Amino acid sequence: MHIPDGFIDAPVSAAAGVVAVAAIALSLKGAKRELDDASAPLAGMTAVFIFAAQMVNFPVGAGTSGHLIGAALAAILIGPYAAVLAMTVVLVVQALVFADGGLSALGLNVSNLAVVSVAVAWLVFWAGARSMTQSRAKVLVLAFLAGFTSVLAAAGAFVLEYALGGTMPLEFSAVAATMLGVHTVIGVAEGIITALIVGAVLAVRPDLIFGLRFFQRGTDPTLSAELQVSA
Amino acid sequence: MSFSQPQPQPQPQPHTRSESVTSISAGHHETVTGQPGDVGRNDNAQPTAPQLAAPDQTKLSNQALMVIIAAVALVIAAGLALFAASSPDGLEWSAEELGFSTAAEQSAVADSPLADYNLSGSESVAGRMLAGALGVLITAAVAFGVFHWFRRSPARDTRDD
Repeated sequence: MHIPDGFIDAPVSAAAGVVAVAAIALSLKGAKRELDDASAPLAGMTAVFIFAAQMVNFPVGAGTSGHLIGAALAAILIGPYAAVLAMTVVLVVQALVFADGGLSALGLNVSNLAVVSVAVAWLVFWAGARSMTQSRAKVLVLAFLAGFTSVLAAAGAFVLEYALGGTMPLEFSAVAATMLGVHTVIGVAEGIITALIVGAVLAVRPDLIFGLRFFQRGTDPTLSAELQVSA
Repeated sequence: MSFSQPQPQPQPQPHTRSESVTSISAGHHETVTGQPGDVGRNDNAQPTAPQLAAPDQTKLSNQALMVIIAAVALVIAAGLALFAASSPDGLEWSAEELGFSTAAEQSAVADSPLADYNLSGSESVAGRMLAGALGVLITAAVAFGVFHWFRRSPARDTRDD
């Protein structure tokens, strides 16, 4: 869902750039609380994995394809602030080195794919976790929902941006229906992949999953004791 | 990649009894389990309860996990990506459906040697594999730089900000 140059006019692109810079500044501050010597390398590796995963488009039918965004995955694994930074690193490398996503559209892409999608994914996961005790099934369901909603949120952000600054006049409802329609399918795939990867980390190193600490202090004997203490 | 930061956390020491004072007395060789002995710090020698909170020794170490993720990323970027669907993604498809795809402009760096994940525009398999691998390395360099720089200070008890 990388926006090329030319879709959105300069004022809206610039405004998105301001939003992106503000969010990055906030995240640099917040990430210091999320990261320590042990988790900082994991945050870096999360960015690396997301870069690689974004290269793999999968067909979703009707002549279209999607790829993982990874915002929900990053938010759950390393926390929302670090996730904004990880996604931003990926988007900047893609735009500057691989000409994937426009340069003047970089603020739009960071706003949509690093800020909005991380924020929505995190809110979904965090709100769910706070309201229940932890179990493997709940973690996976919340990971799916976070992934699914993060894609729809990013698509919705584009619809709004296009309504404000689209360079070709179009019906708002048409853009919304088309974008949200196709990204509903892509969002399901995002949710499944997010849940699979979170499930894999849950199996080998649950202590590294940032999002788990927000579950109600509960008792799932399959998860290690230290997690429940740290909650 | 700038990945060589000090690992401050010592490997969790399992409190096996053989590590305590008993091994010092070379004379009698029956395994005395932590008997208050002849050495100065005998107070510590009582058998320790199993530490429930100690990290599980059977779990993957941080280093092993990093190596696995790096390997998986390389395999994806330089291998699996060759088989990626070439059909337009959700946004491109919507733009074509709605008729605004023609508004797209070339990126200012469209002539970059790695543009479109092809090394120097070659459509060759080797060029695409190399571009993917280079992308992983570049992302790793930037990401580790950022997160190493901005992580919480390792100094004790940083409750600042």
